[in-house]
Amino acid sequence: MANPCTGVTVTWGGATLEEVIDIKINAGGSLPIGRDSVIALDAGTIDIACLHTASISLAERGLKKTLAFTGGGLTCSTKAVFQTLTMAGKVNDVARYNVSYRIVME
Amino acid sequence: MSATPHDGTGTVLRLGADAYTVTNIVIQYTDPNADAEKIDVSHLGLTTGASIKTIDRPLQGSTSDTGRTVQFDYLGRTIIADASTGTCSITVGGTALTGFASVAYTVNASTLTLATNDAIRGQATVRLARV
Repeated sequence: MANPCTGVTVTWGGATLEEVIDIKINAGGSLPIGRDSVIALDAGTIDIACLHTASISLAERGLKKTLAFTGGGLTCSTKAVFQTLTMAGKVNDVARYNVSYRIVME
Repeated sequence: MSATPHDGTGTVLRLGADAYTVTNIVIQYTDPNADAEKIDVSHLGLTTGASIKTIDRPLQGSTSDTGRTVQFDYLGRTIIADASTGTCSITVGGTALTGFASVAYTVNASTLTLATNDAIRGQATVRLARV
């Protein structure tokens, strides 16, 4: 049965990303580097768009914390490195924030 | 056979004292403050059954944009001057259409088409004052 995507909470290192409007989790990334290994150079990315400030400072770029999703059929958690933050302003509209994380497999 | 109550025959459109032989009239009312003009700020944190969240746009629309226009097609040789102003009236069977007894207008756009083997046809869009 379909999961209504409501009541979703997103946190990174315990800090809540507020007014999240879009989440894209692209897990998997590249193939393992060895036949008997699960280690991959790219474990995937997570992109999140929100209307409120993403509660993130560029000073945290490169830091690895737990990115957790609850509710709305999206309940999952992974270690993720904060990679990019995009802020966009447009005339007669609200500011929009996009933050990208790199999934870390440990 | 009696006419249907929706019958548009006998409709006369006047811009000032000039009556036009109209073949089609489209009246559009748009509320500049309608919800559709607001910013949708709903987010994934809202629970099922919650109302969609909107906020007003930070900028106001131009005061000259009343959201009310009349677009009509007519037969005739006269092109209606753009930006011309006056009062507009529409009557159906001699009775003024509600709200159209005498409304101030400004011509937004006007075209006149002359084509082979056809009547000379014009089209105009006028912006109405909000009264």
